[in-house]
Amino acid sequence: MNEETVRDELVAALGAALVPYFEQSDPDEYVGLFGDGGTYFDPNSSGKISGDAIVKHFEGLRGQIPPLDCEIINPSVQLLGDVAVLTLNLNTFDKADGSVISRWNTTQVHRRAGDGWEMVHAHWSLIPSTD
Amino acid sequence: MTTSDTTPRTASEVARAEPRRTRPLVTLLLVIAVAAIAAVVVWLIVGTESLAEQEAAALEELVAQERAVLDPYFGNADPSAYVGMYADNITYFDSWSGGKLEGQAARDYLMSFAGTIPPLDYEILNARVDLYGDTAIFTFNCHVIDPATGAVVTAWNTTEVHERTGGGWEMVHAHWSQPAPAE
Repeated sequence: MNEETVRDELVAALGAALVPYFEQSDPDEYVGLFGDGGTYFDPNSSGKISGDAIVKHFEGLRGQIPPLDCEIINPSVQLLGDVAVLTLNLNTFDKADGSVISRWNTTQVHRRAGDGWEMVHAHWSLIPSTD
Repeated sequence: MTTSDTTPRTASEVARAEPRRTRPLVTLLLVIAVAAIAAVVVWLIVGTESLAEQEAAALEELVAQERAVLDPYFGNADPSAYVGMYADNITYFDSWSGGKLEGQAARDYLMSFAGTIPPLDYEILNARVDLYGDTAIFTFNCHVIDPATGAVVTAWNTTEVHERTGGGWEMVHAHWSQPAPAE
Protein backbone atom coordinates (compact mmCIF):
# COMPACT_ATOMS: atom_id res chain seq x y z
CA MET A 1 0.00 0.00 0.00
CA ASN A 2 1.62 3.25 -1.10
CA GLU A 3 0.46 6.86 -0.92
CA GLU A 4 -0.73 6.93 -4.53
CA THR A 5 -2.88 3.84 -4.05
CA VAL A 6 -4.42 5.23 -0.87
CA ARG A 7 -4.95 8.61 -2.53
CA ASP A 8 -6.87 7.01 -5.39
CA GLU A 9 -8.96 4.96 -2.95
CA LEU A 10 -9.84 7.95 -0.77
CA VAL A 11 -10.52 10.28 -3.69
CA ALA A 12 -12.88 7.69 -5.19
CA ALA A 13 -14.76 7.43 -1.87
CA LEU A 14 -14.90 11.21 -1.50
CA GLY A 15 -16.03 11.71 -5.07
CA ALA A 16 -18.81 9.15 -4.61
CA ALA A 17 -19.96 10.94 -1.44
CA LEU A 18 -19.84 14.41 -2.99
CA VAL A 19 -22.01 13.61 -6.01
CA PRO A 20 -25.25 13.28 -3.97
CA TYR A 21 -24.09 16.12 -1.70
CA PHE A 22 -23.58 18.70 -4.44
CA GLU A 23 -26.09 17.40 -6.99
CA GLN A 24 -29.00 16.59 -4.66
CA SER A 25 -28.06 18.34 -1.43
CA ASP A 26 -27.97 14.92 0.27
CA PRO A 27 -25.20 14.72 2.90
CA ASP A 28 -25.81 11.12 4.01
CA GLU A 29 -22.91 9.54 2.13
CA TYR A 30 -20.47 12.21 3.22
CA VAL A 31 -21.52 11.92 6.87
CA GLY A 32 -21.18 8.15 6.46
CA LEU A 33 -17.44 8.57 5.89
CA PHE A 34 -16.98 9.67 9.52
CA GLY A 35 -15.99 7.23 12.22
CA ASP A 36 -17.05 7.63 15.83
CA GLY A 37 -15.48 10.57 17.58
CA GLY A 38 -14.51 12.46 14.44
CA THR A 39 -13.93 16.22 14.53
CA TYR A 40 -14.91 18.77 11.89
CA PHE A 41 -14.39 22.40 10.87
CA ASP A 42 -15.96 24.43 8.11
CA PRO A 43 -16.67 28.14 7.75
CA ASN A 44 -20.18 27.74 9.17
CA SER A 45 -19.58 25.09 11.82
CA SER A 46 -19.14 27.67 14.61
CA GLY A 47 -15.70 26.36 15.43
CA LYS A 48 -14.86 22.73 16.01
CA ILE A 49 -17.65 20.18 16.25
CA SER A 50 -17.63 16.44 16.85
CA GLY A 51 -19.88 13.39 17.11
CA ASP A 52 -23.61 14.07 16.91
CA ALA A 53 -22.98 17.77 16.28
CA ILE A 54 -21.46 16.82 12.90
CA VAL A 55 -24.57 14.86 11.95
CA LYS A 56 -26.79 17.76 13.06
CA HIS A 57 -24.66 20.28 11.15
CA PHE A 58 -24.97 18.36 7.89
CA GLU A 59 -28.63 17.61 8.48
CA GLY A 60 -29.14 21.37 8.56
CA LEU A 61 -27.65 21.58 5.06
CA ARG A 62 -29.94 18.92 3.56
CA GLY A 63 -31.92 20.38 0.69
CA GLN A 64 -30.22 23.76 1.03
CA ILE A 65 -27.57 23.43 -1.68
CA PRO A 66 -28.47 24.19 -5.31
CA PRO A 67 -27.31 21.59 -7.85
CA LEU A 68 -23.57 21.98 -8.39
CA ASP A 69 -20.78 20.21 -10.18
CA CYS A 70 -17.46 19.80 -8.42
CA GLU A 71 -13.87 19.12 -9.36
CA ILE A 72 -11.20 17.69 -7.06
CA ILE A 73 -7.82 19.31 -7.73
CA ASN A 74 -4.30 18.26 -6.75
CA PRO A 75 -5.16 15.57 -4.20
CA SER A 76 -2.34 13.97 -2.26
CA VAL A 77 -1.96 11.62 0.69
CA GLN A 78 0.62 11.55 3.45
CA LEU A 79 0.63 8.07 4.95
CA LEU A 80 1.60 7.83 8.63
CA GLY A 81 1.22 4.19 9.66
CA ASP A 82 -2.51 3.49 9.67
CA VAL A 83 -3.36 7.17 9.28
CA ALA A 84 -3.80 8.88 5.91
CA VAL A 85 -3.87 12.66 5.57
CA LEU A 86 -5.71 13.56 2.37
CA THR A 87 -5.36 17.14 1.19
CA LEU A 88 -6.89 18.69 -1.91
CA ASN A 89 -8.50 21.70 -3.43
CA LEU A 90 -12.02 21.55 -4.74
CA ASN A 91 -13.99 23.85 -6.99
CA THR A 92 -17.76 23.89 -7.32
CA PHE A 93 -19.50 25.04 -10.47
CA ASP A 94 -22.95 26.24 -11.39
CA LYS A 95 -24.51 23.40 -13.36
CA ALA A 96 -26.29 25.85 -15.63
CA ASP A 97 -23.44 28.05 -16.84
CA GLY A 98 -20.26 26.38 -15.54
CA SER A 99 -19.16 29.40 -13.55
CA VAL A 100 -17.08 28.81 -10.42
CA ILE A 101 -19.25 29.14 -7.31
CA SER A 102 -16.69 28.35 -4.59
CA ARG A 103 -13.08 27.24 -4.14
CA TRP A 104 -12.13 25.11 -1.16
CA ASN A 105 -9.09 23.98 0.79
CA THR A 106 -9.80 20.52 2.18
CA THR A 107 -8.09 18.37 4.80
CA GLN A 108 -9.40 14.92 5.63
CA VAL A 109 -7.67 12.59 8.07
CA HIS A 110 -8.58 8.92 7.79
CA ARG A 111 -7.58 5.88 9.75
CA ARG A 112 -7.45 2.31 8.56
CA ALA A 113 -10.57 0.41 9.66
CA GLY A 114 -10.64 -3.21 8.56
CA ASP A 115 -10.35 -3.30 4.79
CA GLY A 116 -11.32 0.34 4.40
CA TRP A 117 -10.91 3.77 5.91
CA GLU A 118 -12.94 5.87 8.29
CA MET A 119 -12.66 9.64 8.51
CA VAL A 120 -11.59 10.97 11.90
CA HIS A 121 -11.20 14.64 11.00
CA ALA A 122 -12.19 17.01 8.22
CA HIS A 123 -11.51 20.69 7.70
CA TRP A 124 -13.06 22.59 4.80
CA SER A 125 -12.29 26.27 4.25
CA LEU A 126 -13.09 28.72 1.48
CA ILE A 127 -10.39 30.29 -0.63
CA PRO A 128 -11.33 33.96 -0.75
CA SER A 129 -12.21 35.33 -4.16
CA THR A 130 -9.46 37.50 -5.61
CA ASP A 131 -11.99 39.69 -7.41
CA MET B 1 -17.04 -58.47 45.25
CA THR B 2 -14.43 -56.48 43.40
CA THR B 3 -14.20 -52.66 43.11
CA SER B 4 -15.64 -52.97 39.61
CA ASP B 5 -18.92 -53.99 41.18
CA THR B 6 -19.44 -50.41 42.44
CA THR B 7 -19.22 -48.82 38.97
CA PRO B 8 -22.42 -48.30 36.92
CA ARG B 9 -23.14 -51.08 34.50
CA THR B 10 -26.16 -49.95 32.53
CA ALA B 11 -26.25 -47.08 30.05
CA SER B 12 -28.54 -45.07 32.32
CA GLU B 13 -26.22 -45.62 35.25
CA VAL B 14 -23.29 -44.44 33.13
CA ALA B 15 -25.25 -41.35 32.01
CA ARG B 16 -26.15 -40.49 35.59
CA ALA B 17 -22.57 -41.00 36.74
CA GLU B 18 -21.03 -38.89 33.89
CA PRO B 19 -22.00 -35.43 35.31
CA ARG B 20 -20.31 -36.27 38.60
CA ARG B 21 -17.09 -37.04 36.75
CA THR B 22 -17.25 -33.93 34.49
CA ARG B 23 -18.34 -31.46 37.18
CA PRO B 24 -14.77 -30.53 38.16
CA LEU B 25 -13.90 -30.02 34.48
CA VAL B 26 -16.96 -27.82 33.90
CA THR B 27 -16.14 -25.82 37.00
CA LEU B 28 -12.58 -25.38 35.83
CA LEU B 29 -13.76 -24.21 32.39
CA LEU B 30 -16.19 -21.77 34.02
CA VAL B 31 -13.41 -20.37 36.20
CA ILE B 32 -11.17 -19.97 33.16
CA ALA B 33 -13.97 -18.28 31.20
CA VAL B 34 -14.77 -15.86 34.03
CA ALA B 35 -11.09 -15.08 34.49
CA ALA B 36 -10.68 -14.46 30.75
CA ILE B 37 -13.71 -12.13 30.67
CA ALA B 38 -12.40 -10.29 33.73
CA ALA B 39 -8.97 -9.93 32.10
CA VAL B 40 -10.54 -8.49 28.93
CA VAL B 41 -12.63 -6.03 30.96
CA VAL B 42 -9.58 -4.92 32.96
CA TRP B 43 -7.54 -4.63 29.73
CA LEU B 44 -10.27 -2.50 28.12
CA ILE B 45 -10.50 -0.19 31.13
CA VAL B 46 -6.75 0.15 31.59
CA GLY B 47 -6.21 0.46 27.84
CA THR B 48 -8.84 3.23 27.53
CA GLU B 49 -7.37 5.13 30.45
CA SER B 50 -3.96 4.69 28.96
CA LEU B 51 -5.02 6.25 25.64
CA ALA B 52 -6.72 9.11 27.47
CA GLU B 53 -3.57 9.66 29.49
CA GLN B 54 -1.43 9.57 26.35
CA GLU B 55 -3.72 12.08 24.63
CA ALA B 56 -3.63 14.36 27.67
CA ALA B 57 0.16 14.23 27.72
CA ALA B 58 0.37 14.86 23.96
CA LEU B 59 -2.05 17.78 24.29
CA GLU B 60 0.11 19.36 26.98
CA GLU B 61 3.24 18.92 24.85
CA LEU B 62 1.66 20.24 21.66
CA VAL B 63 0.04 23.27 23.32
CA ALA B 64 3.42 24.15 24.88
CA GLN B 65 5.14 23.69 21.52
CA GLU B 66 2.49 25.81 19.79
CA ARG B 67 2.91 28.62 22.29
CA ALA B 68 6.68 28.47 21.84
CA VAL B 69 6.34 29.03 18.09
CA LEU B 70 3.39 31.45 18.10
CA ASP B 71 4.95 33.78 20.68
CA PRO B 72 7.68 34.95 18.25
CA TYR B 73 5.27 34.79 15.29
CA PHE B 74 2.63 37.10 16.73
CA GLY B 75 4.93 38.99 19.11
CA ASN B 76 7.83 39.73 16.74
CA ALA B 77 6.57 38.77 13.26
CA ASP B 78 9.09 35.94 13.26
CA PRO B 79 7.74 32.76 11.61
CA SER B 80 11.04 30.82 11.76
CA ALA B 81 10.11 28.80 14.84
CA TYR B 82 6.74 27.85 13.35
CA VAL B 83 8.42 26.82 10.09
CA GLY B 84 10.94 24.90 12.18
CA MET B 85 8.19 22.44 13.12
CA TYR B 86 7.63 21.49 9.46
CA ALA B 87 8.45 18.01 8.21
CA ASP B 88 10.17 17.83 4.82
CA ASN B 89 6.90 16.82 3.17
CA ILE B 90 4.71 19.42 4.94
CA THR B 91 1.39 20.32 3.34
CA TYR B 92 -0.17 23.65 4.25
CA PHE B 93 -3.35 25.66 3.74
CA ASP B 94 -4.45 29.04 4.96
CA SER B 95 -6.84 31.72 3.75
CA TRP B 96 -4.19 33.46 1.63
CA SER B 97 -2.05 30.53 0.49
CA GLY B 98 -3.98 30.27 -2.79
CA GLY B 99 -4.58 26.54 -2.34
CA LYS B 100 -2.28 23.79 -1.13
CA LEU B 101 1.42 24.45 -0.57
CA GLU B 102 3.95 21.66 -0.13
CA GLY B 103 7.51 21.36 1.14
CA GLN B 104 9.76 24.33 0.41
CA ALA B 105 6.89 26.38 -1.04
CA ALA B 106 5.14 26.17 2.33
CA ARG B 107 8.33 27.30 4.10
CA ASP B 108 8.91 30.19 1.72
CA TYR B 109 5.28 31.28 2.00
CA LEU B 110 5.25 31.58 5.76
CA MET B 111 8.70 33.16 5.91
CA SER B 112 7.37 35.88 3.57
CA PHE B 113 5.41 37.19 6.58
CA ALA B 114 8.61 37.90 8.52
CA GLY B 115 8.57 41.47 9.76
CA THR B 116 5.16 42.23 8.30
CA ILE B 117 2.87 41.52 11.27
CA PRO B 118 2.25 44.12 13.98
CA PRO B 119 2.67 42.87 17.57
CA LEU B 120 -0.41 40.88 18.53
CA ASP B 121 -1.62 38.80 21.43
CA TYR B 122 -3.32 35.47 20.90
CA GLU B 123 -5.31 32.88 22.75
CA ILE B 124 -5.54 29.12 22.08
CA LEU B 125 -9.06 27.77 22.72
CA ASN B 126 -10.76 24.36 22.60
CA ALA B 127 -7.47 22.53 22.08
CA ARG B 128 -7.79 18.79 21.56
CA VAL B 129 -5.52 15.95 20.54
CA ASP B 130 -6.71 12.70 18.96
CA LEU B 131 -3.89 10.20 18.97
CA TYR B 132 -3.58 7.37 16.45
CA GLY B 133 -0.34 5.53 17.07
CA ASP B 134 2.43 8.09 16.66
CA THR B 135 0.17 10.52 14.81
CA ALA B 136 -1.55 13.37 16.64
CA ILE B 137 -4.45 15.33 15.19
CA PHE B 138 -4.19 18.65 17.04
CA THR B 139 -7.21 20.92 16.61
CA PHE B 140 -7.93 24.25 18.23
CA ASN B 141 -9.32 27.72 17.72
CA CYS B 142 -6.94 30.66 17.89
CA HIS B 143 -8.08 34.19 18.61
CA VAL B 144 -5.64 36.89 17.57
CA ILE B 145 -6.05 39.98 19.73
CA ASP B 146 -5.11 43.63 19.31
CA PRO B 147 -3.09 44.33 22.49
CA ALA B 148 -4.13 47.99 22.43
CA THR B 149 -7.89 47.40 22.49
CA GLY B 150 -8.25 43.74 23.45
CA ALA B 151 -10.45 43.19 20.41
CA VAL B 152 -10.28 39.92 18.51
CA VAL B 153 -8.69 40.79 15.18
CA THR B 154 -8.90 37.32 13.63
CA ALA B 155 -10.48 34.05 14.73
CA TRP B 156 -8.93 30.91 13.31
CA ASN B 157 -9.99 27.28 12.98
CA THR B 158 -6.77 25.29 13.08
CA THR B 159 -5.87 21.71 12.25
CA GLU B 160 -2.32 20.48 12.66
CA VAL B 161 -1.21 16.89 12.12
CA HIS B 162 1.97 15.98 13.95
CA GLU B 163 4.08 12.84 13.93
CA ARG B 164 6.02 11.80 17.00
CA THR B 165 9.76 11.77 16.46
CA GLY B 166 12.61 10.90 18.77
CA GLY B 167 12.88 14.48 19.92
CA GLY B 168 9.24 15.53 20.08
CA TRP B 169 6.67 16.32 17.39
CA GLU B 170 7.08 17.16 13.71
CA MET B 171 4.28 18.84 11.79
CA VAL B 172 3.26 17.13 8.56
CA HIS B 173 0.17 19.21 7.82
CA ALA B 174 -1.41 22.50 8.89
CA HIS B 175 -4.70 24.12 7.90
CA TRP B 176 -5.60 27.55 9.24
CA SER B 177 -8.96 29.02 8.20
CA GLN B 178 -11.34 31.73 9.20
CA PRO B 179 -14.99 31.11 10.02
CA ALA B 180 -17.59 32.81 7.86
CA PRO B 181 -18.39 36.33 9.08
CA ALA B 182 -21.42 36.48 11.35
CA GLU B 183 -24.49 37.64 9.44
